[in-house]
Amino acid sequence: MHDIAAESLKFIDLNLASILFLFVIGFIGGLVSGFIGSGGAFVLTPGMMSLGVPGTVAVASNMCHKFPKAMVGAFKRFKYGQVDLKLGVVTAASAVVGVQVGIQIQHYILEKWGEAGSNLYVSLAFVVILVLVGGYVFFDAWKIAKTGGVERVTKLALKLQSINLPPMIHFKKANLTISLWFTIPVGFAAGMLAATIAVGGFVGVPGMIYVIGASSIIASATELVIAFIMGLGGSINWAMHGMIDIRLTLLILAGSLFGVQLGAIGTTYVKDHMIKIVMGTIMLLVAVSRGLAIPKYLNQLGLASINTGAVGLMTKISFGIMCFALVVGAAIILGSMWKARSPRFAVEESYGKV
Amino acid sequence: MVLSYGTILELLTVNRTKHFFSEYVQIYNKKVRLFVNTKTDSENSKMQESRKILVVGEEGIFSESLIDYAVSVAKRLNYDILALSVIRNELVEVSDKSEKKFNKAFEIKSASGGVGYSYLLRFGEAGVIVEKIIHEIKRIGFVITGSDESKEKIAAEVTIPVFSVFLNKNTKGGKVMAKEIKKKKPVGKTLGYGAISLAMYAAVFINADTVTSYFTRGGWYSALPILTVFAFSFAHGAFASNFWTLMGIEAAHKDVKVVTVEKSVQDDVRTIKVARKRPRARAYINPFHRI
Repeated sequence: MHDIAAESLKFIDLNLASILFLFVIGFIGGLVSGFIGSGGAFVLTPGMMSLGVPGTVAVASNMCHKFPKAMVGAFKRFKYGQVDLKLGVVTAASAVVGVQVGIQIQHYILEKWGEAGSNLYVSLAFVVILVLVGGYVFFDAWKIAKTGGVERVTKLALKLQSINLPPMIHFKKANLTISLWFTIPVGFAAGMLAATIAVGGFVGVPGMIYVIGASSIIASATELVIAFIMGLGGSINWAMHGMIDIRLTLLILAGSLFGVQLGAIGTTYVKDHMIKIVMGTIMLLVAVSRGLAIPKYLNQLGLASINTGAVGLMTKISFGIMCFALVVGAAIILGSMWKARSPRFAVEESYGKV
Repeated sequence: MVLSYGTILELLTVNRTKHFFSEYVQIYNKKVRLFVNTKTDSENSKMQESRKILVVGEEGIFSESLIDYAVSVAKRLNYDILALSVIRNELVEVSDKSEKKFNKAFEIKSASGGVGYSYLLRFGEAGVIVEKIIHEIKRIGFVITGSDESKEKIAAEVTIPVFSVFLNKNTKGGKVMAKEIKKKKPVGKTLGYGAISLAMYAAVFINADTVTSYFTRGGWYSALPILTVFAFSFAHGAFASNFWTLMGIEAAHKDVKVVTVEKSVQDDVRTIKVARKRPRARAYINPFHRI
């Protein structure tokens, strides 16, 4: 227990600036996750670390704020009839397995190539997955916006739904029937990604949309249920190790509970494809940000020699872009909510104008 | 626009001889402005294409129940709404404000239901006007009115179905609606939950050192941070929720349109059509056949 006590001494002193910083970043992160089901975490952890919080404490405190936030958001969106609880629970169950596998892979890489190797792996996973998935989501959203805002179920999802491989599960709210075997890979991938880059929703939500065939509103709302279940499990684990700085958690929570509810309300104002636009934008920006972090790890591994000045600058820009991604997401959400407030706009929308 | 003015003048002549008071002449201009303020050409053509319900409000009054009913029917049938205010005498002052209010309320409701909405103001007898509009604007499915009397008046003139939505005679539509719009603001709740949340934050941060030392002990103590965040999310979450309601930010529509089934049904229909294509007789010559 002594090492834990020593760790707790590392808890930082809080001043007004850092309190405000945590509140604001919590609010914006909450807004985005209330809207697209996940996100925010990727800025919060490095954000806390920039205040001098040790990495593990930052991850633990972040996770401990994530699950109550997801719970509040899920409850709010459940009231709007957007949550498919069954889909959430089924996917979360396979996600838990995915997390365990993801952790094992992380351990293996950490042992073999050290911390820089592990960081490089995380960054590469970030860039590859986010560019592929984010690019597709963004392309899809752009296509929908161009053709008048009607979402279509993908051919892949329709094909998978038509395959009768017992046990078949009917998801009432998402209004589809699909074999359990096709929901498992989605949850598993989301879990593995959550263990690797801490934002499982970046695969979970597109997976539910494009593979399972749920609408983006349902998928993003259901992701909150998954985030709650996984966050709760993870938080208990971190709490056992005494890593949670409850002050940080509560400060972020103060802002994010405002944000998550506003984001949830926002989903009722906008068309479905707005969720995809916000998600795609954020994912692509985050991919750029993580891409800029790669040279640092390459240097550490001795695979490349880029001068330290440039690397330092890149690291700073990388964090800047990450914050920018979150702010852009929040701006799109608030902007479209603001536009939708005017009934004239909504009438035009209902006529299919874009 | 020139055409519209022509129509107005024509309409105005319908019923203006009976009650003529010179002091109301200035209102005339106001009416013209209101009437001209209709849709652009592209919107008009869109309005022509879609199927519509004509909702008639006599003297510019649309009751809450009429609006709700019309929007829900339009939503279900995938129709648009064409609201028509019929004012019998163009020289009787209809308060500009109340009319705008009805129009606005109707527009907001239609928008939140995802129903297309257009508005017209005409002067004259309801039956005559409706008959005229049905000929002017295509694809009006049926008419809904706010009272039995106007239903009978309109039904006498037109051939399409006319329905009425009943009103409680004792309350005027306007009053009912005004009440509905002004929902009670949760001031007390917001303050109450805000105070609880603030007290909880104060309790943790004043005793920050003690709290962190207990909360990081691990083992069974690990339940403490988990339970704490649950408690905070209830109190602070309720505060935040009430706060947004108080600020007037609420969900627009609570139902989600489920599109999955529609899509798959459409696709099915298409595939069946393809499958039903009749085979054609074709001449076929076997190139390997030696004659």
